[in-house]
Amino acid sequence: MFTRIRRTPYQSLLAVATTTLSLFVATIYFLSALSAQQMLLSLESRPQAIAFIKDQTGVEEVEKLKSEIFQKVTVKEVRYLSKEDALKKYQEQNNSDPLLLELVTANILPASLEISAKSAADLPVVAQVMKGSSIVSDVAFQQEETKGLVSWINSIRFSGSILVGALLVQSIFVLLIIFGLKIALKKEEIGITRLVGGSKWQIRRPFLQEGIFYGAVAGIGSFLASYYFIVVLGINPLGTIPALTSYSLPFEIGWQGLSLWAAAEIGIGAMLGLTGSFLSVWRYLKN
Amino acid sequence: MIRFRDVTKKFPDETVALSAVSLVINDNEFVFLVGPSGAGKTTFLRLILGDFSPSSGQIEIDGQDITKLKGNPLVELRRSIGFVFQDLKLLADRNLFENVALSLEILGRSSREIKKEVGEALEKVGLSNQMNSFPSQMSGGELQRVALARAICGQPKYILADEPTGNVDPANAWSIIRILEDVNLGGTKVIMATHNSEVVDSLNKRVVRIESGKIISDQEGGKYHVYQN
Repeated sequence: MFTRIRRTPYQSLLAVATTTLSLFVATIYFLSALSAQQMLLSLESRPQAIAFIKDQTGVEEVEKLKSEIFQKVTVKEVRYLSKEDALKKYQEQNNSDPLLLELVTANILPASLEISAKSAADLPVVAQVMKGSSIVSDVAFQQEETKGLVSWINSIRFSGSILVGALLVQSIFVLLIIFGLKIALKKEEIGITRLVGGSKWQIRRPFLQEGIFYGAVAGIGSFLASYYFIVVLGINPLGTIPALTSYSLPFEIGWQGLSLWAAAEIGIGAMLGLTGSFLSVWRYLKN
Repeated sequence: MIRFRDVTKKFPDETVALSAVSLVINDNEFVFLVGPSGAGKTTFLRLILGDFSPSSGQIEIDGQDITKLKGNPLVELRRSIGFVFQDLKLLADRNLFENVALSLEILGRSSREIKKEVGEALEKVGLSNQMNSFPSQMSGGELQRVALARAICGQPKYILADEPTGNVDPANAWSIIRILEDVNLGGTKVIMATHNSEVVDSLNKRVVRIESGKIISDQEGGKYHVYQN
């Protein structure tokens, strides 16, 4: 295989370079989309709506509102914070400022219900239920912030999927052309191999091995480039979106996470190379 | 045993290369196919190789009808044949060792076995000191011997040689013939298409004469009589 590669160095270089570039851009987009998704998940896991309960409201009425919310919306969690819990939370948040702690007592803080929806899309219904309740004095939302982010992420996902898909398909097309050229150059060899008893598999194998090799090398190249781009330089193409200024990858940048990342790149690269070379040889042998 | 029963080969352009040919070649035979250019000798050999099918008739090798062979059985048949092509069919981008090793790689031999067998084959044809040379660096006679080395590698059951002495000087021609005789003595059937009357007349083997696609004579211990009516 290495002899074949050495004897057509420019084709080999072109195959590796194109696949590396496609994988690199796909990786940056994929990790950015993954990071945005992580950010959204973390935002969605926080209480997205807080209903402040009127003073002198009984526990039964609060429980009734809780069940009403559970009936109408699929929520992840509804947590009741009594006036004492609210004071405790306030004290935790302001423990560095004794003056603020002195002035506040449990009586002036309202009890509340903190609601985390399963999806940000459910928040309007939650708002409707809470605003219609007679025991709720006020409702605070993160709805707008979340809604904005959801729309950003959806468009990133959509455009990213199209871009990544197009790049990967383009890589396969380039590999098809390169392997088509290689097969044209090896036409005589294929013919002779057939005549001296070579099976179809024996004809296919060197091309498939070459395709896998190009893809795997491109995977390594893409991993190194994207690691440098994301981890070393810390460049985030989505950094202009306020909530996404930094990466929030769903894995640790330790040896395990990096190994997984590299393995995925090499695996996808090898699959691309295999697909491109397989389709070329299949088409040739079919004719 | 190779048996041709009423084999006719007509090409799409209506050229009749072989017409109702019937022939039996027994085990361990050394057969010369002679006749003018275009008589059908190459077609005869390529039909045995399964390069194409006859238009009608049947070809049997060791009792198996090969006329409709496809896939693995065809691959197996070709692996049992060492073919010296008229146009040699050597790969320009492979060196001498790699060209000869091709048939052994196909047989699935290990690297060690390939090294050993290729070495022996090249020793036999007198080219063991040129293993790393490329076809473009070799003379016509040397290339003929490389093609022969590839054909005899892997101990095939049959050697089909299409004009293996076509472009070589008498000394080289005789060295090729000696190798083929040697292989034949080892139990390999040899069918050789040739125009070399000196070789045919000297060896006293079976001679099958084909003209215009028909067998016009088949003689044990025959002689080369070109253009004899």
